[in-house]
Amino acid sequence: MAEEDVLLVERALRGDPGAIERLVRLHLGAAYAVAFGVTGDPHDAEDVVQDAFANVLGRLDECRNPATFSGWLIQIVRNTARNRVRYRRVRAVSPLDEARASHAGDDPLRDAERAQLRQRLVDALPELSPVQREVLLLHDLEGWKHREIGQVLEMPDGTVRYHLFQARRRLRKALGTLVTDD
Amino acid sequence: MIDELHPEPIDLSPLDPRRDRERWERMVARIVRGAVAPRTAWTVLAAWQRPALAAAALVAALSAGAMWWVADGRTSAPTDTLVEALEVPRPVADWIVEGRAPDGGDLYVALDELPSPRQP
Repeated sequence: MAEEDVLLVERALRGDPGAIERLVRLHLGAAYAVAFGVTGDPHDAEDVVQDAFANVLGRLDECRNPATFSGWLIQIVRNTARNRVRYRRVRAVSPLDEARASHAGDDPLRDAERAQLRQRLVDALPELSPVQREVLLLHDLEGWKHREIGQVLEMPDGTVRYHLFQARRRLRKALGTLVTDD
Repeated sequence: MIDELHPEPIDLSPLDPRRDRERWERMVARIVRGAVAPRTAWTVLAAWQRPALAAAALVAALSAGAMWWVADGRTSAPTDTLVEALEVPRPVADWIVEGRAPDGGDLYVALDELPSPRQP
């Protein structure tokens, strides 16, 4: 991915919209996972990734080593998300948006089940620390390897494994509690 | 293979934002549109908003420090300044500062230090 990033950053710097879009599509998932991990809120995560991408793409010429574009982006996403958490205001989530988001498929029953599952996960994730959420989402949702996560989050592979283990254990426990509560 | 440090993963796919295709594409489009939009004078100014605020905060902090330092310097010797302004003789100023009544010797010294009357 690093090689592709180098080419894409070079093309994006020349103003190629296709390269910009490709960069966004390549990294949006990981950026969203990290933003969601830090904020713990899917709506905040969307705002954070948009702000972070605007920031990064607006000063792409400052990216000294395009091969590390991913790490640079993730650092900016983390900082933006932390600022967001710091200054977060209480914001009411529109139930209509949630409903719309969860009824995206053709099978309403399956969509409802999926929405319920999604909500359970969203409710359980705050039981994890932000770094546990980041590691868990990057690994189990984005399919990143321990080494890749360690590089962008600046921690040894062993620490990544430990956080992942703790995150899964705590999430499983929280989901179990939620099931019991239901 | 699942070992001790790799418990079975939890299915997080319901959290995957790509599942809602429409929403995902909207997000991509918004980001790309923002990135390729031509830079207007306003966006250039907006980019300088944060550094400008930081510089203003620094100037304010330095000014506040300087004002405090000057004010502190002025209040450190108020009596001297007042005495000098009113041209009070030094022995009289000493009575005032020490809060004591002058004796005969003090009065003699004070009268001796008074400026001599001006010649017409």
